[in-house]
Amino acid sequence: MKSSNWETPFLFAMGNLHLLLQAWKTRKELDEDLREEVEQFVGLPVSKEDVLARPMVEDSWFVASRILLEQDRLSTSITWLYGVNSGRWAKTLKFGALGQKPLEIWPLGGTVKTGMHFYLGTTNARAIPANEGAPAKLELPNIPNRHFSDLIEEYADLRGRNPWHRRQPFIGLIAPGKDGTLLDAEGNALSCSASAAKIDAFYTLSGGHPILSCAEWDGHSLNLLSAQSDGQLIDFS
Amino acid sequence: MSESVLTSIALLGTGRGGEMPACPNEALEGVWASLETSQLLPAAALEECSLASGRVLSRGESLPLAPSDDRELIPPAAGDCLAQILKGNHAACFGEFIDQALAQNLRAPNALVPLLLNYGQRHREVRADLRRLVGERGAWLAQLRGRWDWLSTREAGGDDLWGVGTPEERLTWMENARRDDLPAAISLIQECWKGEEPAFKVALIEVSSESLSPNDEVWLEPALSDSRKEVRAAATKTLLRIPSSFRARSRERALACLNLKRNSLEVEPPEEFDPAWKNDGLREKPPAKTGARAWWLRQLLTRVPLSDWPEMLGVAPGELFSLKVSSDWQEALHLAWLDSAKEHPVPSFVPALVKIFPQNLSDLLQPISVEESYEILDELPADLVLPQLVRLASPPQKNHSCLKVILKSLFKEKVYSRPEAQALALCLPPDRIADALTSISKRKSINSMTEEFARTLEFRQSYLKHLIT
Repeated sequence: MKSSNWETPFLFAMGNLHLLLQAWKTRKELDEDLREEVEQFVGLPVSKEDVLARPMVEDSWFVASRILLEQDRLSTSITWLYGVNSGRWAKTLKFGALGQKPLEIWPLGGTVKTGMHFYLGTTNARAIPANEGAPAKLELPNIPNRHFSDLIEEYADLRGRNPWHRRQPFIGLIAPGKDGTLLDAEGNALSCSASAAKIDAFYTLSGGHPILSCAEWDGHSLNLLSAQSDGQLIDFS
Repeated sequence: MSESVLTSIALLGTGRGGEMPACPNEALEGVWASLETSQLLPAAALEECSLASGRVLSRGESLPLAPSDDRELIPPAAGDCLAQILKGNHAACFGEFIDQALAQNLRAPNALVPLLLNYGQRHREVRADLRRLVGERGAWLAQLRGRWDWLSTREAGGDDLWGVGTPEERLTWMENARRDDLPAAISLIQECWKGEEPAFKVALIEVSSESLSPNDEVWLEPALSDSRKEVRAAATKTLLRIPSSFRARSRERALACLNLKRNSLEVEPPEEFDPAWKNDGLREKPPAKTGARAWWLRQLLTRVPLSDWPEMLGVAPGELFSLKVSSDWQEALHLAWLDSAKEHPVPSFVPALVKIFPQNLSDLLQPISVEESYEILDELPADLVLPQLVRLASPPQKNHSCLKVILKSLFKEKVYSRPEAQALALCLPPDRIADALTSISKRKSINSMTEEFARTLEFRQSYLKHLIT
């Protein structure tokens, strides 16, 4: 780790790994949902057919952010979709060989009407769309305004049910605050872990005003993923 | 991330004894009491979960709001092209894009403002245009983030920036200071001049030449005898742009070597090198293969801006270059004119000078405007035109006959590199692009340079159709 403050994150990561190993040893005693998630964390594969056999959640899904990760000789495209009616988050993953961007049909900022089959798990947002070819409309849906207090409450609940749950997306009005913080529409602040270039971009897009933004919360800081400006959703990932 | 209460135990080792630290969160008290130091990892997992889940919100402090900018935004499709240009694709189109956007009084998409400011950090020559393009939003961002000092006002940089800033910061500060309070800025230059590095002195002269005043003579005059050649050259050039005493005495010295009799100009170089000339930056020792008197003559005559010559000799501007030079010193005179034309260009003299110095076409066209260059190129043979078009890489405001050479040269494979093909594509006026693409599409086969030329034209079309109304 390059950071000079590596000790605490490293210790916490080791603590959580230890907890996972303990859970693996006693997985037969766990509830089915949590056991499934522990098995997925450890790396046991889940068949796509099994997921598609599960009931689906019908909604209009707003493509709120897309992250491209390139590691372990694999390109992974992670898309967060927000269910406009259900308020539920779905995470889809697509994979490609390193250097080859996985093909994504739905553009950032688009809204798609389809069902979503969720993986088994207490807090699992990972899902497979029922209709991957559904057309996307490039118009901003009505997204109810949520606040950081909602996010923190939801996150505490998720961590209580699944201690390995890491990142929870948030969509709502966010403004830049002083000292590298982000503010919600009620003026509450959370720290921001974005790079200087992302902060420059977010400052400029907002002009100091709250703007519709998507970010990931890991219990310690928010990472900006996208924000709306000039009628477009701008990618920050 | 908050510091863990367990870090010390983790770093020292759990086998070294010691007690469990105090419980970090009252919600954990029950379970924490049952843990021992050897159970470091479960304790760390618990602590992390309680820290992440038990976040307490605090009130934040808002930023000042950016002033509004009523100008319309560059349309999104054109904005996408600008993003491409800033990434280095079709980078040669940057100038035209910015010119067209400013001509339509458009402002940059907010998402591109930081990238444009970064571009301005590297390219001083486009800063004035970028300042307009990013407008209020850019100035607000620069002030808030304490970066891109070239965009900030003098106050934002702080007065001590002149004393302690980097060379780039100091130059920007001085540029602003000269705009705000010229006499005070000149005093500051005078105070620090002797201790500055030669490269900074040259840069300071260049920055000052944007807002030159007769009052600048006080610090430029001593620079004429600076120990470094580049500083002397910059000071000489700049002092000849203001009504300085240097300009007056240079004229007297030149006149002493010239004698106009009807249409004949007699030139007689000085017999000896006057030691006083040394203080004005003249060098006594000639370069190799040059006679001393010719060398002195050339230096003396070069120090009279070309624009001063007609009035100095009492001839009409159009007559100057048709005067007969009745001496053996014609070459020195011509070289002095050429030097002067490069340093102090007079666009109306260029056609006459091109006839005398056809081999120096680039030097003569360099300092004059694009439009003036095209006027001159229309009169020249095709083989001289093509390299100049590559150098210009900018479209004229109206069609010019010299542009016919572009497609002919491409089809005859006389364009040898992609940058040349791209530069030539930038020379066509917007209303000629479609015709050129049609001509290319009618050909049975095209070479790779023509392909590159067409690609650049298509890229230009993709943003011009949104920027030109």
